[in-house]
Amino acid sequence: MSAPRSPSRVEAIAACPLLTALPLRVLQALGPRFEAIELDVGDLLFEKGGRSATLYILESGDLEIEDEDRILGRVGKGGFLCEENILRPAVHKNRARATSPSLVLTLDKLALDALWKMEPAVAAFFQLAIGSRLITELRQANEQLVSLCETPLEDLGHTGMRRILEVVDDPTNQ
Amino acid sequence: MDTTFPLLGNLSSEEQQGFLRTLVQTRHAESEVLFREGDPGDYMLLILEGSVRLSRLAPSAEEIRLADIGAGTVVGEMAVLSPAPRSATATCLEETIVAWLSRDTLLERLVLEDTASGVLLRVSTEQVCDRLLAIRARADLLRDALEGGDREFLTDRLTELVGSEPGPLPENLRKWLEGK
Repeated sequence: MSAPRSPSRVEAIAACPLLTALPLRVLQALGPRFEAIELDVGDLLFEKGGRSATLYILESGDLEIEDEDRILGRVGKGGFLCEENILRPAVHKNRARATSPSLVLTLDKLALDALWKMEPAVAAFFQLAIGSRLITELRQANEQLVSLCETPLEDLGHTGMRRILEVVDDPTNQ
Repeated sequence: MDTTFPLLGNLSSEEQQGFLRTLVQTRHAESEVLFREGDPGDYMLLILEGSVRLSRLAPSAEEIRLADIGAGTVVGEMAVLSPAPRSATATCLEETIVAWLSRDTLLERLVLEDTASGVLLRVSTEQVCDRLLAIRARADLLRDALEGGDREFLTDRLTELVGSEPGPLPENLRKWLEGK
Protein backbone atom coordinates (compact mmCIF):
# COMPACT_ATOMS: atom_id res chain seq x y z
CA MET A 1 0.00 0.00 0.00
CA SER A 2 1.28 3.49 -0.78
CA ALA A 3 2.30 5.79 2.05
CA PRO A 4 -0.18 8.59 2.92
CA ARG A 5 0.15 11.75 0.82
CA SER A 6 1.61 14.86 2.46
CA PRO A 7 0.67 18.06 0.59
CA SER A 8 3.28 20.25 2.29
CA ARG A 9 6.08 17.81 1.62
CA VAL A 10 5.00 17.50 -1.99
CA GLU A 11 5.16 21.28 -2.35
CA ALA A 12 8.60 21.30 -0.78
CA ILE A 13 10.11 18.73 -3.12
CA ALA A 14 8.33 20.28 -6.11
CA ALA A 15 10.17 23.52 -5.32
CA CYS A 16 13.53 21.75 -5.59
CA PRO A 17 15.14 22.28 -9.03
CA LEU A 18 16.24 18.65 -9.01
CA LEU A 19 12.65 17.38 -8.96
CA THR A 20 10.54 20.27 -10.16
CA ALA A 21 10.06 18.84 -13.66
CA LEU A 22 8.54 15.62 -12.35
CA PRO A 23 4.82 15.00 -12.96
CA LEU A 24 2.56 15.87 -10.01
CA ARG A 25 1.55 12.23 -9.66
CA VAL A 26 5.18 11.24 -9.16
CA LEU A 27 5.78 14.09 -6.70
CA GLN A 28 2.71 13.05 -4.71
CA ALA A 29 4.02 9.51 -4.45
CA LEU A 30 7.54 10.64 -3.60
CA GLY A 31 6.75 13.28 -0.98
CA PRO A 32 5.79 10.93 1.86
CA ARG A 33 8.94 8.87 1.29
CA PHE A 34 11.14 11.72 2.51
CA GLU A 35 12.13 11.98 6.17
CA ALA A 36 12.62 15.38 7.83
CA ILE A 37 15.52 16.60 9.96
CA GLU A 38 15.29 19.83 11.97
CA LEU A 39 18.51 21.75 12.54
CA ASP A 40 19.25 24.73 14.81
CA VAL A 41 21.87 27.32 14.00
CA GLY A 42 25.27 25.66 14.17
CA ASP A 43 24.00 22.08 13.97
CA LEU A 44 25.81 19.77 11.56
CA LEU A 45 23.79 18.01 8.88
CA PHE A 46 26.76 15.77 8.18
CA GLU A 47 30.39 15.59 9.19
CA LYS A 48 33.45 15.16 7.00
CA GLY A 49 34.34 11.49 6.73
CA GLY A 50 30.82 10.24 7.44
CA ARG A 51 29.44 7.68 5.02
CA SER A 52 26.18 8.59 3.32
CA ALA A 53 23.63 7.12 0.95
CA THR A 54 21.27 10.05 1.34
CA LEU A 55 19.92 12.85 -0.83
CA TYR A 56 19.24 16.09 1.10
CA ILE A 57 16.72 18.75 0.06
CA LEU A 58 16.49 21.97 2.05
CA GLU A 59 12.81 22.74 2.69
CA SER A 60 13.69 25.86 4.67
CA GLY A 61 16.73 27.54 6.20
CA ASP A 62 20.34 27.82 5.10
CA LEU A 63 23.38 25.58 5.12
CA GLU A 64 27.07 26.20 4.61
CA ILE A 65 29.45 23.63 3.19
CA GLU A 66 32.70 23.90 5.08
CA ASP A 67 36.20 22.61 4.72
CA GLU A 68 38.59 22.66 7.67
CA ASP A 69 38.87 26.42 7.76
CA ARG A 70 36.84 27.90 4.92
CA ILE A 71 33.34 28.07 3.49
CA LEU A 72 33.09 26.28 0.16
CA GLY A 73 29.48 26.97 -0.69
CA ARG A 74 26.01 27.83 0.57
CA VAL A 75 22.68 26.12 0.05
CA GLY A 76 19.32 27.81 0.62
CA LYS A 77 15.63 26.90 0.48
CA GLY A 78 14.95 24.44 -2.33
CA GLY A 79 18.63 23.58 -2.65
CA PHE A 80 19.87 20.02 -2.61
CA LEU A 81 22.99 18.09 -1.67
CA CYS A 82 24.58 14.71 -2.33
CA GLU A 83 22.27 13.59 -5.13
CA GLU A 84 24.85 11.08 -6.33
CA ASN A 85 25.07 9.39 -2.93
CA ILE A 86 21.58 7.94 -3.25
CA LEU A 87 22.89 5.93 -6.21
CA ARG A 88 26.44 5.35 -4.99
CA PRO A 89 26.99 5.74 -1.24
CA ALA A 90 30.14 7.71 -0.48
CA VAL A 91 32.13 9.39 2.25
CA HIS A 92 31.49 13.10 2.79
CA LYS A 93 34.51 15.16 1.78
CA ASN A 94 33.37 18.17 3.80
CA ARG A 95 30.76 19.06 6.39
CA ALA A 96 27.42 20.88 6.16
CA ARG A 97 26.28 23.20 8.95
CA ALA A 98 23.02 25.11 9.44
CA THR A 99 23.41 28.89 9.55
CA SER A 100 19.72 29.44 10.31
CA PRO A 101 17.00 27.15 11.70
CA SER A 102 16.56 24.61 8.90
CA LEU A 103 14.31 21.78 7.84
CA VAL A 104 16.04 19.21 5.66
CA LEU A 105 14.22 16.47 3.77
CA THR A 106 16.12 13.24 3.23
CA LEU A 107 15.72 10.18 1.07
CA ASP A 108 18.23 7.35 1.25
CA LYS A 109 19.19 4.46 -0.99
CA LEU A 110 17.20 1.92 1.02
CA ALA A 111 14.06 3.99 0.55
CA LEU A 112 14.78 4.26 -3.16
CA ASP A 113 15.34 0.51 -3.44
CA ALA A 114 12.02 -0.08 -1.66
CA LEU A 115 10.33 2.35 -4.01
CA TRP A 116 11.65 0.38 -7.01
CA LYS A 117 9.86 -2.67 -5.61
CA MET A 118 6.60 -1.00 -4.62
CA GLU A 119 6.14 1.75 -7.20
CA PRO A 120 8.63 1.13 -10.04
CA ALA A 121 7.28 3.83 -12.33
CA VAL A 122 7.64 6.45 -9.59
CA ALA A 123 11.14 5.22 -8.77
CA ALA A 124 12.04 5.29 -12.45
CA PHE A 125 11.02 8.91 -12.96
CA PHE A 126 12.80 9.94 -9.77
CA GLN A 127 15.98 8.13 -10.83
CA LEU A 128 15.68 9.67 -14.28
CA ALA A 129 15.66 13.11 -12.64
CA ILE A 130 18.78 12.24 -10.63
CA GLY A 131 20.45 10.79 -13.72
CA SER A 132 19.64 13.85 -15.78
CA ARG A 133 21.23 16.08 -13.15
CA LEU A 134 24.34 13.88 -12.95
CA ILE A 135 24.68 13.93 -16.73
CA THR A 136 24.56 17.72 -16.71
CA GLU A 137 27.36 17.72 -14.16
CA LEU A 138 29.32 15.11 -16.10
CA ARG A 139 29.01 17.09 -19.32
CA GLN A 140 30.19 20.26 -17.59
CA ALA A 141 33.12 18.41 -16.07
CA ASN A 142 33.99 16.86 -19.42
CA GLU A 143 33.79 20.22 -21.18
CA GLN A 144 36.14 21.73 -18.66
CA LEU A 145 38.60 18.90 -18.99
CA VAL A 146 38.38 18.93 -22.78
CA SER A 147 39.03 22.67 -22.79
CA LEU A 148 42.02 21.93 -20.62
CA CYS A 149 43.24 19.48 -23.23
CA GLU A 150 42.64 21.87 -26.09
CA THR A 151 44.39 24.81 -24.48
CA PRO A 152 47.82 25.25 -26.06
CA LEU A 153 50.04 23.53 -23.59
CA GLU A 154 52.49 26.41 -23.38
CA ASP A 155 49.60 28.72 -22.33
CA LEU A 156 48.42 26.48 -19.57
CA GLY A 157 49.51 27.53 -16.11
CA HIS A 158 48.72 26.21 -12.69
CA THR A 159 46.22 29.00 -12.06
CA GLY A 160 44.16 28.17 -15.13
CA MET A 161 44.25 24.50 -14.35
CA ARG A 162 43.10 25.08 -10.78
CA ARG A 163 40.20 27.19 -12.03
CA ILE A 164 39.06 24.36 -14.28
CA LEU A 165 39.36 21.81 -11.51
CA GLU A 166 37.23 23.99 -9.23
CA VAL A 167 34.42 23.81 -11.79
CA VAL A 168 34.81 20.05 -12.11
CA ASP A 169 34.60 19.59 -8.37
CA ASP A 170 31.36 21.33 -7.36
CA PRO A 171 31.57 21.92 -3.59
CA THR A 172 27.87 21.16 -3.12
CA ASN A 173 28.51 17.58 -4.22
CA GLN A 174 29.77 16.21 -0.97
CA MET B 1 24.99 -16.03 -30.94
CA ASP B 2 22.73 -13.84 -28.82
CA THR B 3 24.46 -10.70 -27.64
CA THR B 4 23.98 -9.72 -24.00
CA PHE B 5 24.40 -6.23 -22.55
CA PRO B 6 25.94 -5.27 -19.18
CA LEU B 7 23.58 -2.29 -19.30
CA LEU B 8 20.70 -4.73 -18.87
CA GLY B 9 22.15 -5.79 -15.53
CA ASN B 10 21.37 -9.24 -14.24
CA LEU B 11 18.50 -9.95 -16.61
CA SER B 12 18.82 -13.42 -18.07
CA SER B 13 19.88 -13.88 -21.67
CA GLU B 14 16.30 -14.84 -22.54
CA GLU B 15 14.91 -11.72 -20.87
CA GLN B 16 17.47 -9.56 -22.67
CA GLN B 17 16.65 -11.10 -26.04
CA GLY B 18 12.95 -10.63 -25.35
CA PHE B 19 13.55 -6.94 -24.68
CA LEU B 20 15.80 -6.47 -27.71
CA ARG B 21 13.26 -8.12 -30.02
CA THR B 22 10.78 -5.36 -29.16
CA LEU B 23 13.16 -2.67 -30.46
CA VAL B 24 13.63 -1.54 -34.05
CA GLN B 25 16.82 -3.12 -35.44
CA THR B 26 18.80 -1.86 -38.47
CA ARG B 27 21.79 -3.14 -40.44
CA HIS B 28 24.59 -0.76 -41.51
CA ALA B 29 27.53 -1.06 -43.88
CA GLU B 30 31.19 -0.47 -43.03
CA SER B 31 32.01 3.27 -42.86
CA GLU B 32 28.36 4.23 -42.48
CA VAL B 33 27.86 7.05 -39.99
CA LEU B 34 25.21 6.32 -37.34
CA PHE B 35 25.22 9.90 -36.05
CA ARG B 36 27.51 12.89 -36.18
CA GLU B 37 28.95 15.14 -33.50
CA GLY B 38 26.46 17.99 -33.01
CA ASP B 39 23.42 16.04 -34.24
CA PRO B 40 20.40 16.22 -31.92
CA GLY B 41 20.38 13.16 -29.68
CA ASP B 42 17.48 11.53 -27.86
CA TYR B 43 18.07 7.85 -28.53
CA MET B 44 20.61 5.15 -27.75
CA LEU B 45 21.90 2.38 -29.98
CA LEU B 46 22.58 -1.10 -28.66
CA ILE B 47 25.21 -2.83 -30.80
CA LEU B 48 24.01 -6.34 -31.58
CA GLU B 49 26.69 -7.26 -34.11
CA GLY B 50 29.75 -5.52 -35.55
CA SER B 51 31.72 -2.58 -34.17
CA VAL B 52 31.58 1.20 -34.05
CA ARG B 53 34.21 3.93 -33.76
CA LEU B 54 33.49 7.01 -31.64
CA SER B 55 35.44 10.09 -32.62
CA ARG B 56 35.33 13.85 -32.32
CA LEU B 57 36.95 16.75 -34.12
CA ALA B 58 39.60 18.84 -32.42
CA PRO B 59 39.58 22.61 -33.12
CA SER B 60 42.40 21.88 -35.56
CA ALA B 61 39.89 19.67 -37.48
CA GLU B 62 42.00 16.67 -36.58
CA GLU B 63 39.89 13.59 -35.81
CA ILE B 64 40.37 12.34 -32.27
CA ARG B 65 39.53 8.68 -31.83
CA LEU B 66 37.76 8.18 -28.53
CA ALA B 67 36.93 4.49 -28.57
CA ASP B 68 36.17 1.46 -30.72
CA ILE B 69 33.28 -0.52 -29.29
CA GLY B 70 31.64 -3.77 -30.24
CA ALA B 71 28.64 -6.02 -29.71
CA GLY B 72 27.14 -5.85 -26.23
CA THR B 73 27.94 -2.18 -25.76
CA VAL B 74 25.71 0.85 -26.09
CA VAL B 75 26.15 4.21 -27.80
CA GLY B 76 24.40 7.39 -26.71
CA GLU B 77 22.79 6.25 -23.48
CA MET B 78 23.27 9.68 -21.92
CA ALA B 79 21.13 11.23 -24.67
CA VAL B 80 18.19 9.08 -23.61
CA LEU B 81 18.49 10.18 -20.01
CA SER B 82 19.13 13.83 -20.91
CA PRO B 83 18.76 14.80 -24.59
CA ALA B 84 21.57 16.94 -25.98
CA PRO B 85 23.60 17.33 -29.18
CA ARG B 86 25.91 14.38 -29.81
CA SER B 87 29.38 14.89 -28.40
CA ALA B 88 30.94 12.43 -30.83
CA THR B 89 30.52 10.84 -34.26
CA ALA B 90 29.69 7.12 -34.43
CA THR B 91 30.95 5.27 -37.53
CA CYS B 92 30.59 1.59 -38.32
CA LEU B 93 33.95 -0.18 -38.58
CA GLU B 94 32.33 -3.19 -40.29
CA GLU B 95 28.85 -4.39 -41.10
CA THR B 96 26.93 -3.64 -37.93
CA ILE B 97 23.46 -4.33 -36.56
CA VAL B 98 22.03 -2.00 -33.93
CA ALA B 99 18.81 -1.81 -31.91
CA TRP B 100 17.27 1.62 -31.34
CA LEU B 101 15.81 2.87 -28.06
CA SER B 102 14.44 6.42 -28.02
CA ARG B 103 13.75 8.47 -24.92
CA ASP B 104 10.02 8.47 -25.70
CA THR B 105 9.96 4.69 -25.98
CA LEU B 106 11.87 4.31 -22.72
CA LEU B 107 9.50 6.68 -20.90
CA GLU B 108 6.44 4.85 -22.23
CA ARG B 109 7.84 1.56 -21.01
CA LEU B 110 8.78 2.94 -17.60
CA VAL B 111 5.20 4.12 -17.12
CA LEU B 112 4.08 0.57 -17.93
CA GLU B 113 6.58 -0.71 -15.31
CA ASP B 114 8.52 -2.73 -17.88
CA THR B 115 11.23 -4.55 -15.91
CA ALA B 116 13.95 -4.46 -18.57
CA SER B 117 13.52 -0.71 -19.10
CA GLY B 118 13.75 -0.14 -15.37
CA VAL B 119 16.95 -2.18 -15.14
CA LEU B 120 18.45 -0.31 -18.08
CA LEU B 121 17.62 3.02 -16.44
CA ARG B 122 19.06 2.00 -13.08
CA VAL B 123 22.29 0.62 -14.50
CA SER B 124 22.84 3.52 -16.89
CA THR B 125 22.29 6.18 -14.20
CA GLU B 126 24.64 4.31 -11.87
CA GLN B 127 27.25 4.19 -14.63
CA VAL B 128 26.89 7.93 -15.17
CA CYS B 129 27.34 8.41 -11.43
CA ASP B 130 30.48 6.26 -11.49
CA ARG B 131 31.92 8.27 -14.37
CA LEU B 132 31.22 11.52 -12.56
CA LEU B 133 32.83 10.23 -9.38
CA ALA B 134 35.84 9.01 -11.37
CA ILE B 135 36.31 12.36 -13.04
CA ARG B 136 36.07 14.12 -9.69
CA ALA B 137 38.54 11.70 -8.16
CA ARG B 138 40.92 12.53 -10.97
CA ALA B 139 40.37 16.23 -10.37
CA ASP B 140 41.16 15.73 -6.68
CA LEU B 141 44.39 13.95 -7.49
CA LEU B 142 45.38 16.62 -9.97
CA ARG B 143 44.67 19.34 -7.43
CA ASP B 144 46.67 17.60 -4.74
CA ALA B 145 49.57 17.13 -7.12
CA LEU B 146 49.40 20.74 -8.28
CA GLU B 147 49.39 22.02 -4.75
CA GLY B 148 52.34 19.82 -3.96
CA GLY B 149 54.11 21.01 -7.12
CA ASP B 150 55.33 17.47 -7.68
CA ARG B 151 55.36 16.73 -11.41
CA GLU B 152 56.65 13.20 -10.97
CA PHE B 153 53.88 12.33 -8.53
CA LEU B 154 51.27 13.87 -10.82
CA THR B 155 52.59 11.96 -13.82
CA ASP B 156 52.38 8.73 -11.85
CA ARG B 157 48.80 9.42 -10.80
CA LEU B 158 47.79 10.24 -14.36
CA THR B 159 49.32 7.04 -15.59
CA GLU B 160 47.16 5.14 -13.13
CA LEU B 161 44.10 7.03 -14.26
CA VAL B 162 44.45 6.51 -17.99
CA GLY B 163 41.22 5.06 -19.26
CA SER B 164 39.02 6.21 -16.42
CA GLU B 165 37.25 8.48 -18.90
CA PRO B 166 37.50 8.30 -22.70
CA GLY B 167 39.36 11.16 -24.26
CA PRO B 168 42.73 12.62 -24.86
CA LEU B 169 43.24 14.12 -21.41
CA PRO B 170 45.90 11.92 -19.91
CA GLU B 171 48.25 12.07 -22.88
CA ASN B 172 47.96 15.82 -23.29
CA LEU B 173 48.33 16.42 -19.61
CA ARG B 174 51.35 14.19 -19.49
CA LYS B 175 52.93 16.23 -22.26
CA TRP B 176 52.19 19.35 -20.32
CA LEU B 177 53.60 17.90 -17.17
CA GLU B 178 56.70 16.80 -18.98
CA GLY B 179 57.10 20.35 -20.30
CA LYS B 180 56.66 19.41 -23.94
